[in-house]
Amino acid sequence: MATVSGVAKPQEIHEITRIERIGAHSHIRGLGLDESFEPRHVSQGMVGQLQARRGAGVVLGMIKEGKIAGRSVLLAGPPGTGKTAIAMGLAQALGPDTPFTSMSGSEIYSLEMSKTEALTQAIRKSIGVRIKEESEIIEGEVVEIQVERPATGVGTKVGKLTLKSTDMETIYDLGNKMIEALMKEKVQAGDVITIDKVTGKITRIGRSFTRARDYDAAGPQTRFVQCPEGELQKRKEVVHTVTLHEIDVINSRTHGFLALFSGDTGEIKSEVREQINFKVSEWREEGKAEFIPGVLFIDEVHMLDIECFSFMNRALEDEMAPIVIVATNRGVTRIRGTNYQSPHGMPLDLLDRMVIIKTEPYNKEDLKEILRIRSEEEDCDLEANALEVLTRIAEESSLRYAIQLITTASLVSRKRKATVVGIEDIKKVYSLFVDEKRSMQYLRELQDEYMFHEAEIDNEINESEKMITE
Amino acid sequence: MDAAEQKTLLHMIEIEKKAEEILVDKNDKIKLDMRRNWDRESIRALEKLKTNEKVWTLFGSNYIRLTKEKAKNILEDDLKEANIEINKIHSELKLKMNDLRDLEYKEKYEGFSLNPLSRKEMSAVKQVWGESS
Repeated sequence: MATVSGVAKPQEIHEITRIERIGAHSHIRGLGLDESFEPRHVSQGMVGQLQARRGAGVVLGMIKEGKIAGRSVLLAGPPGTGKTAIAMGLAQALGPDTPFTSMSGSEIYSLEMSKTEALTQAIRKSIGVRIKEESEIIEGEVVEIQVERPATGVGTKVGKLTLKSTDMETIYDLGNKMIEALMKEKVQAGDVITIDKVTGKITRIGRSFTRARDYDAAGPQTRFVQCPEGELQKRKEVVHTVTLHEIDVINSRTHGFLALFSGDTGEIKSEVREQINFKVSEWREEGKAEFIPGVLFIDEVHMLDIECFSFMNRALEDEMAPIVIVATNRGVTRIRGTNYQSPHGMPLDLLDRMVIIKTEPYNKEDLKEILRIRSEEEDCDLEANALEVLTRIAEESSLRYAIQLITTASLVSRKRKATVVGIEDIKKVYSLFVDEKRSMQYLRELQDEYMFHEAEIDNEINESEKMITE
Repeated sequence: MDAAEQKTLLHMIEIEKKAEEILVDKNDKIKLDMRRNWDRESIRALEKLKTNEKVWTLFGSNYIRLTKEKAKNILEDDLKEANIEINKIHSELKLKMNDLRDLEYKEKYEGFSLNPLSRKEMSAVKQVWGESS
């Protein structure tokens, strides 16, 4: 199918991959850099964190020039300092054509497939292949269809089809096959149709506006369109971007289309992948395809274990590797699956391959600005002193907690029929919802009254035993 | 006029020139497609003609009597030429379009210089989107 609907489809598909997983970062529209990659203090939803954004900007430039395929970037910093925000901003700044896969480190522990399979799929989702489709079509508004039937009722029919665009009009002679195809599509005078020149496939696009008053009533499925402009016979070129994973999926099943209904794809054989790699490289050599190295973002990377890390080490060396951006909020900690301590919970050899961007805690002005942006994003009006109080809360407990209070406080304010959120609303929610520190203190005081208090300790012993056996 | 103004003006002129070229090309394509359709219609009409007499043909403002075969050959040559010309304009148009976008500081349209996938390959790829063709 080489028509308008064929053009619209793939974009919709790619829209899906771009849905943000975390609503907490929905206000971010880019990295907030100017033309020379210098960060502006507040821009595109980004605040402060100038050094890190600058670094991300340089990485962005390198990605766009295709320079750092197969390398990786580590975003490290304490919780709530905008690591995910920077990765999201980077994705937005890359443009709609570059594949961006976002996953959390723990997503790989699934029962349906092995860890390496999950990682491979994520990696292949992040590599785009650009291809072009070309078709010759005839597009026009039907002025008249004439069909001459033989008197006996059987035998070959002949006919004429008059098509027009805003600039010209022409008559086509019709053979038996075309007449049948036109009948099947129920084409009438006044319809706008396309005919694929090679296959002869006829598609009805809709009815011409000029014919809108032909009937008193039209069905709801009737679409009115403009009479096409320009030439009748057109060459249509459509550029698609598919990911390697998408190609893998159709080829891993004997009945290709089934994969689309059953949802999960399960594991894909390595032979299939090899064949695809071979085919795609062949296309590239013939000038039929271009690779777009995309970005794979793994949040909470300390959740990966040693097997995953060594797998990644090797996967990054592949010629078709994407740019891997990982983020962690851990300092020196145990590498999962071992007893070794390591910075960021990652083995040193992998850490060595990475460009490390660090984020730092926000200062007071930045916190205030972020809270202001978030309150706009969540449609809550804050009084000036209420914002001040929230900023204090953010400073003392955490930014995330303060952000949580915005919506809750706005609900409280609505209850008392106020349009803006005042200090009293903030106070109310502050007493209703405890933050991390107060919660900890509370637990420490009342620990003994909770259930399973002792069982908890038993579990801990079990776990340490397990560690030793591992 | 100072240097900056001069520069802006020159830049604007350059953009307008490029845009003009593109519009002319588009118009040419329409004219050529018209010619192509006339040629095709005439060839069909000649094929359907029962008589073996010479036919009247119009060249410029002169009517000339030609044999059917000769008239058909001329039309077919014309059709071929129109096709070649359209293809040429089409491929140049893509380059001009990207030049214009470059002048306007917009991103280029990527991928249009690729060779197209064959019909069979395309239909395989289309299974990704759940379409059969």
